[in-house]
Amino acid sequence: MVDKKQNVEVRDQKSISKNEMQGFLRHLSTKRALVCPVDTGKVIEFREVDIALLDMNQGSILDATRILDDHVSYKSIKEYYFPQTELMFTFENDDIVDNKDIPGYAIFGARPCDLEALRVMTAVYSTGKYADPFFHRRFEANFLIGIGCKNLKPECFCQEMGVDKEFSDFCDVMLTDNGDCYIVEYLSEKGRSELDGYLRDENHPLGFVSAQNHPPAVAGTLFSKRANKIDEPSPGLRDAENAECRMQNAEIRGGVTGELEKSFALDVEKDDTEYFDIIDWAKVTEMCKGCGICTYICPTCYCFDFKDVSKKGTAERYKCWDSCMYPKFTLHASGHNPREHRHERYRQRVLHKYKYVPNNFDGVIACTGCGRCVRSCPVGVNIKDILKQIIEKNDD
Amino acid sequence: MYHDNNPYLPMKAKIERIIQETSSPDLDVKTFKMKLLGDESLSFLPGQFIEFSIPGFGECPFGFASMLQDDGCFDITIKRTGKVTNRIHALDEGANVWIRGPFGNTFPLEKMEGSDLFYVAGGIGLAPLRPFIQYVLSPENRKKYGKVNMLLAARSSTDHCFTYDYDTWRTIGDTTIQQTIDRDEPDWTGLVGFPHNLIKDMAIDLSNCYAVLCGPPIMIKAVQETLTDMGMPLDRLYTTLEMRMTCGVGKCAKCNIGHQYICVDGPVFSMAELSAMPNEY
Amino acid sequence: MDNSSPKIVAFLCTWCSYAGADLAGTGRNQYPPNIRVIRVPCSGRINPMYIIKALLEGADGVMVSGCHPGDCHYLVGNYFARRRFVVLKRLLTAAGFDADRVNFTWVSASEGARFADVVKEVTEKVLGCQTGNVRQGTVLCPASPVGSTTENRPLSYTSGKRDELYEQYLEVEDHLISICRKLLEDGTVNSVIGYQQEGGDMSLCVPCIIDSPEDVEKLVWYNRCVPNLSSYLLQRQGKTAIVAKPCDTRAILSLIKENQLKREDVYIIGHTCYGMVGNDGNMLQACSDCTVRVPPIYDTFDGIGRKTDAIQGDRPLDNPDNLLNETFERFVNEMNKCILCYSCRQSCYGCYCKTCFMDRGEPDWQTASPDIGAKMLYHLGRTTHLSGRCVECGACENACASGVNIRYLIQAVTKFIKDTYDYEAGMDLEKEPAMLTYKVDDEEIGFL
Repeated sequence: MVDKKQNVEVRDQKSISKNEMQGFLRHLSTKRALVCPVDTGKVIEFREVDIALLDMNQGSILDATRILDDHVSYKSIKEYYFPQTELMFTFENDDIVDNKDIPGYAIFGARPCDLEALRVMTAVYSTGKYADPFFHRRFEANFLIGIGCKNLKPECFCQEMGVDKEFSDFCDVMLTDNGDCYIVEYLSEKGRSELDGYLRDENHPLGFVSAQNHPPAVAGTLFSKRANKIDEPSPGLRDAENAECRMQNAEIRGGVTGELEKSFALDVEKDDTEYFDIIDWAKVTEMCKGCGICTYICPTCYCFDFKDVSKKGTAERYKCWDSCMYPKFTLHASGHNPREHRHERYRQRVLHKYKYVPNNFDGVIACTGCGRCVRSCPVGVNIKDILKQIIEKNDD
Repeated sequence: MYHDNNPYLPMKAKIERIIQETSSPDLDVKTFKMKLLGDESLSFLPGQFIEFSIPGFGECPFGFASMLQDDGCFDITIKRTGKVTNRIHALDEGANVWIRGPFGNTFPLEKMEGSDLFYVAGGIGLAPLRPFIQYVLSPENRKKYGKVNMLLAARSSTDHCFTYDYDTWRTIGDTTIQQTIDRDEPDWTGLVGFPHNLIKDMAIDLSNCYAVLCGPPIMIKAVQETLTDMGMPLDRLYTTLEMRMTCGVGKCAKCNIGHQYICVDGPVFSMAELSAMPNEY
Repeated sequence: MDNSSPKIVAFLCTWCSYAGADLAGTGRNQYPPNIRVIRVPCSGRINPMYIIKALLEGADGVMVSGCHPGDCHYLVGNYFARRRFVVLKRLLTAAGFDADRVNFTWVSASEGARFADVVKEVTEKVLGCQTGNVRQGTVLCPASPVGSTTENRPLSYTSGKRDELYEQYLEVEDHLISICRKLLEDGTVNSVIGYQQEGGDMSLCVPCIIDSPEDVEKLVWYNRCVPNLSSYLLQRQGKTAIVAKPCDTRAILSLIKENQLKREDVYIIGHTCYGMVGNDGNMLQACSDCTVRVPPIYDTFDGIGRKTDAIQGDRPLDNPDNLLNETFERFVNEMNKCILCYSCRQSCYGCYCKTCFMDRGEPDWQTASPDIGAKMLYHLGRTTHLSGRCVECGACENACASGVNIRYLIQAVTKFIKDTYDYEAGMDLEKEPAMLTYKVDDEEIGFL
């Protein structure tokens, strides 16, 4: 799924009826632990679903999960690639033992904003002289199934960030809601090999239908809307050539996604200092309480800290989420803190996402417009408004 | 050099010797002479740093305080300030520790060739400059550089570090060392006062000179202002920054200032580079 | 079971109980070898966090023993400790720890035989404990995969009233705006902390700070003014007016009592409150549990009706869910939802410590399990810190994006303190806070 050329070759479509989702999920759970959006009573979040337990209680996964709804989970799928606390290694008997026990998950139902966020994470963690081995291992082990959004939810601003709410190719398999069925697209060799035999088999005990049973016109109407957004306005079936054309266009633009215009982009050519005092940060963050929720639920926030835990005779080192919103993030041992005030920390969060990461990683913006930070902020600090202010000031 | 290309896994090193640097009452600066265990040896240049681990307590970045010595040892000089450094100071000679590195960029050694050098260090700020001084003063490199001047400041006479080196350094041609303390003490023969007040009287030729500053932020700022007043361009002034760092390889984004990472793009910056960065250090 | 199990941490006061243990030794009084003694200067020295930490690190039980009441070497240390332990035990049982895991008692220096008996009794009690062992492995409860569909909470009793009141909100809002304009114009205050309508798609009602009379029109007042504004006062310079619900007022009152704020620096525009409504259109849980409808203090009253008209405490309701389900499973389940983002701490009026215990490097409170252990430590620790101080505004719960119902712990403790010590935080400027005082004849609930 990283190699674009490969994408083009493997791209083709199947479909799956919504009635057959139960069996489909059961199939997914045979090799890996299945992760689905689940309603925990107050929020929807991605959790590991224990199929065996459900079978025992004769429950339905569809009842237990919220996969068929059009929603945005309150947390992203980030934690299955970059867990909140992850054991890196153990100091044991005067030696170290690397933690290679990385579980593989089949993650079902990630939204395009989350998938694009994973692209950002990959840019940060897997480029440069060293790759983050833990992210990389999970990336290899996981099987990722994306699902397009039908509607924009309140506070979503993916379109402003150049993310297509219905589609992202940064996954193994992409599903698109098409009434009583989903259109299935393979976007990686892994996606094809895991599902191909399964989906093609018309006589499969669980009755999955193959693509041939669905007239191409269905797919055609489905994709025409999206096809108009790309440079070559070719309605009709998005076939391999069309896909190649999309890729070429993306490459010409130099961006990685590059399909929609990113209206919230800051000018990468400008010096960092030009944005530094562009707005009155203290004023716009006057109400910020300094909790870290915006960073923790953000699908692209990737900062981490190491934490040591000593146990009898051994010690373990963990890689843990950290948040630039906490004063301790930059506190020196001497007591000096380069970002002592809340507004300085908030400025770091905004500029890091929209200016510094694009500077360092070929224009990839570390925000996909999922709107979670706006939705979850207890005091209504709105990054959209702040960005608008910056861009307005910049245009003046 | 890393196990399975995992940059977060440290390597085992042994503390060969511990030198008590300062003799002020809290004895808070020690130099640890250490060596990697096993066949591997480190290869690094002045300005780079390592991450030093104490299992169960944590990891901290420290600059190299010496070049690699003939016996494969290198020095790390540490001031006792927090949880990890307290623990490090409690270590004995012969103890095994864990290190990762080297990380970061180096002083622009080639660019400075043919020029005079002026080192201004405050207290333990001499530690990251020491490998640079050793490099320049080594027999094979000495002739590549011009005059070497040093102004070494400390709070009191007991807070000067690496005093055992000064005599050796002085014997190498065209090298002057001036020591200063904040307030006069009996039997003190060096200068008295803050470095920025003393530079003007030192009669150093700054026309073809690079200045390298390291010390408390307030000292760096004051010295930089004085040198700029004396006509020194910003791109000839160098310093080395410190930030809280976790990974050392540009992933954790803790040492992020503007779009630069101190652990990868730094820690050595010229004042010209710093002036283009947001003032967050 | 071998001799090393159960492991019991015993905190002994050096003057009485430690000497008592010594006497048990010299007197050849036999007792089980399960205790690990930590000597402390006084039972009043024992931070409840020590006990929590011991349990979270895998101790099977904790035993605390000090001088008999009245015999304290420091005169009153154990009186304060007694209240603290009684409340801590209530907290731990609310979280589903077996009540017998923590044991408090008094042993004097002359009671060697009693010390041996106490250790025997404690060991037996701890052996009989069923729930709340947090040794690694047992605590990692299988993530319950099956979610329940969100049941919309039925609109509570005020639903009828709310509509009826809706027209009046506008009236109150106009009144509020005119008050604030006057206060800013005549210089009584230099800013007003209130609520405004956020322009976004969700039409949120968010806090705002108004510092010029021209902006007062921004202020709104209706049943969506959820956040507790009191903590913003701590960042203000000079006299500030604040739009305050009863819970905000209680928080302000507590801040004044705790010397964080001067009464003369705050101008309280009090409002009656019949409960606030969340984004789902239902009344917030904390508001349905609340019985205080009128601010206990204010400088100007701007409510629907006058103080005399408002019904005080017309709905003494304890959420039955919270009181019945005090199991360890529930605690673990709630902890599994938590992502340790600290928005509850940052939203809480009472969490104003400059450095939270969770952020300390030394002493390091980190537990052996950086994941669920840290979450338990944080929530239990925060609850002990808020014992007797919580004003039940529900800010913690409302701020939680993860939907953790963590207020049930402090709710149990707050109710307990009210029932036992007759104290409610933020209701009376004169009354001594429950945890800062003692009575010689305080009941020793749950003591050996």
